[in-house]
Formats: sequence, structure tokens, C-alpha cells
Amino acid sequence: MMVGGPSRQGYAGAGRPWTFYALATLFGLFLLFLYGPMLVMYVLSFQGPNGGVTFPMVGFSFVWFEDILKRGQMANIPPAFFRSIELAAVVSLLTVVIAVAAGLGFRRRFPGSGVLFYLAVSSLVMPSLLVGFGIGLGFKALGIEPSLFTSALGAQLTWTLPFGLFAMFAVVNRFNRSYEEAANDLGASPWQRFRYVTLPILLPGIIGVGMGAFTLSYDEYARTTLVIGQRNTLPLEIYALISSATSPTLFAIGTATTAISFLIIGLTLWRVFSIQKRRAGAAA
Amino acid sequence: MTVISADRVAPAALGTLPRRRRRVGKAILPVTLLSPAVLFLAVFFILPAFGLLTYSVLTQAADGTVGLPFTLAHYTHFFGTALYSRVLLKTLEISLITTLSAIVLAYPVALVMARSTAMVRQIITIIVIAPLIVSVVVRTYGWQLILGNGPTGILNWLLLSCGLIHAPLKLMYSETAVVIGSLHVFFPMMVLPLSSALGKIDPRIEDAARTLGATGWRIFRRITLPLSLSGLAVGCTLVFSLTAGSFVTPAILGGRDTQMLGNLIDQQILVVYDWPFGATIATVLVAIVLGLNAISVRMLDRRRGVSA
Amino acid sequence: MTIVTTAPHLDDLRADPRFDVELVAVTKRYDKVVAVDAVSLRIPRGTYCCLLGPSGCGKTSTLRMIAGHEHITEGDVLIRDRNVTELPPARRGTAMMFQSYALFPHLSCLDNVAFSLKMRGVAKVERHRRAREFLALVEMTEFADRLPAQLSGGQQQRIALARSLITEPQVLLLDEPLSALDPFLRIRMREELKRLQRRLGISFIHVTHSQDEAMALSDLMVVMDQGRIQQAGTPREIFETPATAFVARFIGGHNVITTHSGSFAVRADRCRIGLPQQGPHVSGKVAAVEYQGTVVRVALETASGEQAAALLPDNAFFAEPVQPGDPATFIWSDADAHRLEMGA
Repeated sequence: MMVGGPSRQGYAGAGRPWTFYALATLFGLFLLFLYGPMLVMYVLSFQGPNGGVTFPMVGFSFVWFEDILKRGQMANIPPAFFRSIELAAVVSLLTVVIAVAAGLGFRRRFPGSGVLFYLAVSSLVMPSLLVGFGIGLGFKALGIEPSLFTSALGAQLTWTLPFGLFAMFAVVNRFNRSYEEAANDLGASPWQRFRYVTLPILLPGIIGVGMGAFTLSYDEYARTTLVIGQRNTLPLEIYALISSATSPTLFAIGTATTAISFLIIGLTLWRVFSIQKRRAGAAA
Repeated sequence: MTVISADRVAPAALGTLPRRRRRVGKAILPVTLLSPAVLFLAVFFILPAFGLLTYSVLTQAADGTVGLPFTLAHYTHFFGTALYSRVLLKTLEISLITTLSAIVLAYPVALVMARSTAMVRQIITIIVIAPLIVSVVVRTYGWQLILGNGPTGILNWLLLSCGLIHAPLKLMYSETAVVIGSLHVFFPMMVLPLSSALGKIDPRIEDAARTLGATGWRIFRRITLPLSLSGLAVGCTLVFSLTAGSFVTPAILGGRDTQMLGNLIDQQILVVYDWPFGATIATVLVAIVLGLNAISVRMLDRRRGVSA
Repeated sequence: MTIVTTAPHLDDLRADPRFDVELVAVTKRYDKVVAVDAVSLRIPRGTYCCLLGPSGCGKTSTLRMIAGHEHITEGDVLIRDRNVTELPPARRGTAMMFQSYALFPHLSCLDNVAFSLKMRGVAKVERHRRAREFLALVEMTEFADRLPAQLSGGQQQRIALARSLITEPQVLLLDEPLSALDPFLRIRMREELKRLQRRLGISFIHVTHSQDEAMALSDLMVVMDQGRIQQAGTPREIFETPATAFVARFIGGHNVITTHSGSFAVRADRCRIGLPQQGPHVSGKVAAVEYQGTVVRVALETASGEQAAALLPDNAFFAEPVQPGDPATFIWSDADAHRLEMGA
């Protein structure tokens, strides 16, 4: 779902008409709506040691962040965190491989290509809980215990794969066939062509897909919850905490996980941008 | 200058290599490439869906095992009980309100995105997508803080201190809260398709309309809006489907009074342990979602066919 | 059936190593649509050959079939004496320059040029050395480490040339190479391409829709329309004796006159303003007068709605000028009227 097409310049006038300020205010409110809940939580996570789970702030401390590392009554955060990361990494890798293969295979229309498309769309809008439920049923019927790297993996892939597919379709569509023809012309075998031309050129898009899949997996709750087996991923641990929310530890967790997510995304984006910048070329 | 007809070049003259080796290899590759994706989706999506459907017509014996005979009792139970019908209606209602609110909120943003320079557009895209990075659980809990009933809820606290209200509002554990939360979570799903569709509208069409004397509002109504319908349809389908099937948000923000189908299913599965009934509710939900999808896809196809 | 011409030699029908490229009844069909219709052509060694025609005439499809990027529905393509019809592009002895150049954006110019050698497994030191040779050939040595995006259109084209030539092809195929350039650059690059072709001694097959370009560059000019060759020959042959009405009109500078005894092409610069009694003529009203520096173009519209144009030397015109709306008659001599084939 990338934006595209012809665009116009923004306001270039000398003075700013009132509509500009009105729009700006609306935009401010809009930003508040999008980021308010999270900001509130981030602020509260620095709650003083005697403070409660709501405002007002009683002092400023890192106490609740330290609390995360301790094994709590209701939840055990660090192992859950690592489990989340591991699973997200695997999901991300699988999504990329499958989506890239599908994206490349999808270029030529052939009977049945529509099937994949509708399958992907349906898998996306299918309520997460039901997917989890269905997979849980399936595993039960087969007599297999649900666990992290089988059923949970599968459940998360039903969420990340459609996104990955659509993103790859868009990326591959914009890929100029001439590059591949040129590679053919110059003597590349199909594998060489893929490795030295197609893959490098698609790389920024592929990284984007991988990163997106990682994030989606890392935050995934509903599909995972019924098929996770014995040991929880992070969102599930957090959820368990919510019902017994008695301390700002919960907020600290929220802040910490967000920070980590942003760190990972930020690093990846930076990498992608630097690749693109090099290729687009600075003025000679 | 000589003119020669090259009608018949002698076969022997056709060079040293044999001709016409069959090109079979070409068709195989795309199929191989696509098979992991198709296979995976088939196993982890079609099979579970089928499993759900089957479960919904099986009977659960007293000892908990599920098996024959086939029965539609669960369906009659679902549609016959006032409680469940209410939940169904509430689910549809919440999904509808969320979708409509999303349209109103997302349209201006999408318009701005489509009309800005590439740099601004990228920035706005990042701003819109960034919240997705934060876990839905975390985000929804943030709303719980803001909408909290009683004077400590952030919103209440703000409004009370400004003197705009005199008693705290009861926003939490209500339909409104669920709508707000769902809107927050699924907002990008409306903005992105919409801005993509708007971006494809050639701005010169609107310029032309303006030179022909149309005013801003007219232009919007007659030109921009109709041309953006495909993006709108995609966004609406996504937001409606996702809201109808959502579970986390109504669980955290809805409380006992505002249950949606998702919560009901969760209950049946984990608490009541009546899996066939849970599967029944699930099937109803899936039918709604897929039905909606089919309609919107059909509508989109027809539009595309007409304009092509 | 289409007409085939060779350069001045009369020859027999054997597949002949004296030709660089031979097309034998080559056809391209997309489902029901015939894009290239049983085209036959022989291109002698070391020829600069231009495929000229309007959009959709099949010239690009033909080029791509010679290159191997397009599957050949029927017919054969021979390069030197080998039948390459079923061979992949890399094994035909051809190299193609794409309209968009298709320089790999993630590789430096040097790596772009060295690419084909890398595919063959040539060691890095050796392939970089050879790549630099070819960069020198196209005078782009100092750009070796730049990325394609940092180059202008003309510079990118030279890198694309170098990249193709390093494979030492027997035939170089160019798909509208000059279309993306501005007019000045176009003329300069045109000269360079011709020089290069002479120097290398191989055949170039150059697709274009510009008749100026084709006439300036070609040893062999092939005019195509609707999937068929309308006429093939030297530019001079085609300009002086166009075979069909289409060729006469497309090549420009001709009038197509239809009389009871058939169709004729008369060069516009061989027409004068005169009187009906003086010989073959058309009469009508002056539709437009355009001053073009060395000549003045006078457009005529006959009573039956036909158009004709005359290019008069400026002093001839100003000696007896006419204005739009005046009645006028164009005359020419019999020798300048060239009979056209019917149909095609």
C-alpha cells in the first residue's frame, strides 16, 4: 500500500491563510490522538517509588524499570522478551523468503494467480483469534502439542505473510524488467541474475518486509495466544499483568518494549536509507 | 539495385544447429516459487477455517469429547438467545461506527498526504505507521489511563481542571471507549489505501474543473470523492473486518457490558470450554467478514472494469 | 510477400557468411495479434542498419527477436552462419542497448561494464582492466567509480555502450538509443555512434522512429509498417524512389499524387509554382506559406481536398510570392515523378 502518482507542491504563498492554521491545529489534535496514550504511559513509567498507577506523578525514578528484571508473581519478563525476539526473527526470515519467492513468481499472470491473492486477503482480515483457534483445533486433532516454534510460528505467519506478500508485490511491480533482460544479455544464468541483479536492487524493499514482519510478530497477541503452549511471548505476559495492574511496572515494560522496537526499526530504516542514498547518488 | 525474393531459403542453408527444442522449463519456475506461499496459507488458513466450520456442527458430549452426530443446535442456540443476538448487533454497530469515524478522520490526512511533496508524504506516512510498532496491548492500555472513570483519568482530570465539566465522565468500559480504541489501532488501515487512491488522481483534473468554474466543495463532491472510492472501499473493508474480529481492545476497554463477538468466542474457548459453540460463533463472524469482503471486491472489480 | 534487398551485390540464396544477420520469414504473434508478419531481411557484414517506422510497426519486436529477448513465433534468425532462433540472448553473438539503458543502479560504472566478464568467471583484476579499456573507448574513464544515478543521460548511454561492447558482439542492437536525449546531444551522439560502428567493423541495428536519424546513419534503411517491411535500401534509394505511398509520406518531403494512371511520388523540392499548360501539375488554393530560412514551404489544397507541398528556394519564392487563399498550380517534370506500387 504505497502512495504514488502525481503530486502537487504544498503552499508556496507569501502569507499563510487562516486555513493553514486551522489545518495545523487539526493536525496537532490528530497527533495527540495518535500518540497521546503512549506518551501518557511513557511519562508514568518514570513514576516515583510511592506513586500509583495514575496521575499525579509522585516524584521521578527508574524504580519500575528495575522491577522489570525481577521475576514477578504474575509475570516473568526477561525470558518472555527473549522468546519474543527469537520468534520474531524466525518469523521475519520465513516471511521474507516466502514473500520474495511468491513476489517473483507472481509476475507473470497465470490461471490461479488470483487464488493466492484472495487467500492472502482472507487470511489478513480473518479475525486473529479465530485463526489461532483454528490452528489450535488442528493441532489438537493431530495430537500435536502447540508450542512456540510450531503452532505459534504458523499462527503469526498467517498475519505477517499477507502483509509481506502485498508489500513484495508492490515492490516487484515497480521493478524494471529491463534490468533482468540486460543481465540475460550479458550472459548471466538465472541464478546469477537473481543474486547479482534482482536481489540487490530489491534489497531495500526486502529489508522493509523483513522489518515489518519482525514488528508484527513481536507485537502479535491475538493469534498467538491460543497456540502458544506453555511458555509465553512478551505481549502475552504483559496482558496477564494488565488484569492485575497494581504497579507502574506495567508502564515501564511498555516504555521499554517501545524503545526496543524503535531501536530496531530505526537501525533498519537507517540502513535502508543509506543504501538508497548511495544509489540515488549525491550531486556529482 | 537488385530485388530478390527470399521466399524459399533452402533447408540446408538454415545453419548448423537443430531447431525447435521445446521450451518446457519456462512454466515450471513460477509454480515452484509460489508453492511455499500457497501451501502455507492452505495449511494454516484453509484447514483451520474448515476445522472451525466442522466443529460448529458437531456435538460435545458430557465428558468433553467432541464428535458426531452433526447438529445445528449450536446455531439455533446462538441466534435464538437474546444475549448473543445483542452481542452480534453490538459488534456490527461498533464496527460500523468505527469505520465511519475512520473515514472522517482519515480523509483529511490522506488528502494532505496525497497533495504534499514526497518528503512531507514520507514523514506523514512514518507518523501514521509508527504507532504500529508499539504493541496493541500497550497502546490500548494507554487509552485505559486516559479514559479512566473517576477524577484520575487523564481526560477527566484535564477537563475538570479547566472547569469544562463538573463531574467526571464515565467513558471507560463503554462502547465509546471501544470505538476510540479501535479507531486508534486501525487508523493506518484506512489512511494508507485512501492516500494511495487519492495520489493516483491527476491533479490536473481538478485544475480543469476549477477553470470551468467549479468551487472547492463541488470539486470534492463530484470529482475527488468518486475517484477515491476504490481506496475508500479497501479501507472500509479492512477497518470493519478487523474491528469486528478484534478481541484485545474490547477486552481491555469494553468491560463486561460491552462485549463483542471476539470476547464471546474467547470465553467459550477458555472459560466455558464449549468449543463447538465457540466455533459456531466464530463461523458466524467469519461469514460476516468474508461476505463483506466478497461484496467489496465485486464492487471494486466492476468499477475497474468500467473505467478500464 | 515482402521485398528484400541486398547491398549492391547480386547473390544467390544460400545462407551466406557475408551477411551478419539474416531474418527468414520471422513472425511474432501475441495471441491473435500479428506484430511482425513474415519478415525477411539480409544485413551484409559491417552495415549500419536502421529499422524505421511509426509506433507499433513491429520494429522493436523485430529487434528483440534478433536479440533473443522475445520468443520467435515462426521463422528463423541467422547470425553469421548460425541459426540462433532457439538460443538464449547470451549465446547469439548479439548485444543489446536498451532504451532506458538499464544500467544496474547498485553497481559502479566500472562494475557495470565488467558485469559480463564477471558472469563468465573472469578474475577481478583482469576484468577491471578490460573494463577500463572499454571505458576509454567511450571516453568515460574518469567516471569509473561513479554510480549510474550520478551521470547525465548522454554519459549513461556511453556506459551502456561500453557494457555491451565488452562482450565483443558480432551485432550490436540499439533500441531507440537517442530518443531520451535533447536535440543537440542527439546529433553529437549520432556522429559518435557512426564513428564507433566504422571503427569496430561490426553491424549495428538501430531502431528509431525519426527519419532524419535513420537517413543520417544508415547504410541500409528498412522502413516498416504494420509488421511488414515496406522498403529496404540505402537512404538515397528510398528517398529518391519510394516504393509505396506509405514510404513516400513517412520519409517526408514528398507529395503523393493520384491520377487516372496511378499514384506517383513527387519530391516537394522538385515542385515549382507555374501554369497548368507547362506539364504535370496539381491546382488548388494556397493553404499556408511557411518561411524556413533556405526554403519557403508552400502548402496547397486541391478542390478534391488533397494536400500537396512545395519547397521553393527563398529567392524563387520572393521573386513571385503568393499568399494563403491565392489560387496556385504546382508543376514538375515527368522525370521527377516516381510511380508508386499499389497497396502495401
